[in-house]
Amino acid sequence: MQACKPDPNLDVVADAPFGFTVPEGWPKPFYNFENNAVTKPGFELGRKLFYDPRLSRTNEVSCGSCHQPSAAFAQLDHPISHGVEDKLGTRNSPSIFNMNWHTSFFWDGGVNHLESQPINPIQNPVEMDETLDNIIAKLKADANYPKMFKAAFGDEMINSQRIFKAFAQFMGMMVSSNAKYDKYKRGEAGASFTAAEQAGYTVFKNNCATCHVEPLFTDFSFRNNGLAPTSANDTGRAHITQDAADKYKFKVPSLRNLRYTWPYMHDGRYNNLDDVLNHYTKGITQSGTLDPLLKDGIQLTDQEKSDLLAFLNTLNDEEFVKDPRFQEVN
Amino acid sequence: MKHILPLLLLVVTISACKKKPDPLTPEVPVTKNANGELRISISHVAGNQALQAGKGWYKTENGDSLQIDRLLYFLSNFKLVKADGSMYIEPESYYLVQHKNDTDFTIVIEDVPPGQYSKLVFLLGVDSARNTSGAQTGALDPNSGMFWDWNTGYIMARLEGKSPQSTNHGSVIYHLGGYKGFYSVLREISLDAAMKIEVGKPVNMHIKANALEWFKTPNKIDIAKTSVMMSAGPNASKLADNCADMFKIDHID
Repeated sequence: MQACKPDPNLDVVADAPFGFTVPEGWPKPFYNFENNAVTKPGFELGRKLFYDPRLSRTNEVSCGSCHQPSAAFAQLDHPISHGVEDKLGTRNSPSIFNMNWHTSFFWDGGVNHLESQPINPIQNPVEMDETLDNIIAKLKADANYPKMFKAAFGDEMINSQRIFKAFAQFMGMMVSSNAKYDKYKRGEAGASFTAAEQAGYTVFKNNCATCHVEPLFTDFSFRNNGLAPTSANDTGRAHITQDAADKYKFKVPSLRNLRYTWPYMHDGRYNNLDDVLNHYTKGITQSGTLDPLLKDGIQLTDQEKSDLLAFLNTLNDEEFVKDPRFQEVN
Repeated sequence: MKHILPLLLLVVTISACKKKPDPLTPEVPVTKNANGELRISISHVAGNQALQAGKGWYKTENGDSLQIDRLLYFLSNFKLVKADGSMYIEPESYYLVQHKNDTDFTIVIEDVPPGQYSKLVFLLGVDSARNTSGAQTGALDPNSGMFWDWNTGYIMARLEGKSPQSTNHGSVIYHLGGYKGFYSVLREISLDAAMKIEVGKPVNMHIKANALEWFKTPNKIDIAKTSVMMSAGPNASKLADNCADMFKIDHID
């Protein structure tokens, strides 16, 4: 097995390792580019694919259409995003950052691996509605892609595995770890909390931190947080597990970058954080699968709500949403 | 085992690293003809007749009329086992078997160390590891339509056809998937097979796979009650139990 260890002298593909580092104090990521060493050409290929509308049947919808950098790769002001021919699904487009720590993908966690994620929106009839074979044909006919595949993977062959590995390189590099909260935790100069932020941090720890675990601000579990089912009757996690005990459970989202990712919840029903907090304080719908922690709602005074909002504001990472590496190309 | 394993490791090590040869030490050539070969031909039947997809009409165990349009499934992790329990395990052993009328599907197991073997063992489906390790290629490329994108995992076996007894507009659609614990549809199949593997003398094994077994034992299927199945769960597991006995060795030559 010795021979299988990557030999740094032989493994140089274009550029040397292209900077994925685990932020200080963070846990080990679930995906660490095993069998998919991240390189600059691989990352750039992933970025080009991400913003390329030819990955949809109509050549009009790219991944970036519903995952915009300025919205922390969610889609601003869209409870439900539009797919090909303005078709609508039932769920809010989730943000994309810190994906390498996720153990499952989508609101129902149906997808189990970062590299297996893109095929879902690509083939979904109300999202991009395209086949892998068609995409490969389009990319092969392009003047630039074959060269980019060669730069990334050693030769011009284009197949679905390479497409997905390039996507994983681009999305896996999207790490959001430079919010005020992060700088405060790292003890960086000038990054001190105001009295309101500090008080809000305490409110957060006492009321929210069980599900929204630091530093990713999610425990990646599936929970029913007491939202009343709508006419869509989206049963969430139960759709995947076929288990009635999972009805109306959805993946706990991160609380990072909330300023950019509104509207909120799996169906985008709340436009602002006041509505979200009001839901938890007085809007919980009781049901058999409601998370036990929310049975009595969360009791917060107006002062505590205001402090909590001040703390949540420290989780917005402007450097991340403006990072030139992740902006649109093509 | 003692004799086979070191050799196997050598083969695996070399082939796994083939793509990036070390220019300083020339690659050790794998002399394939030092080993033998097993060729497995699978022909699909419906009871006693050759399966004619899109043409023939057949009676299921329940007495339902059935025409089969598509039949495809994954076979993986082939092993040739000796009487003492030692075995040859084929590396990267994944095949997507697709029925075509009047044509056998052939699987060639190369590099089998010579010797007397007594069993052929394989998995119906794709092992759980390959369902959870991201983007795959070759037989496992998800462009085959044998992959669930919304609930990651391979469709291990797929049978589609027509039946007047169907309660779904006359169609029968069975997509068997699920690799996790209780709802796994993966089934290990072990066929007794006396085979003497020798260098330069391929052994030909002829398997008949009976599509009507999907409807037969141990769980007799009533098409009116089960016309469509496209998710993992207890019903898929029952069908998987049925599929697991569809393979019979007809003869070896």
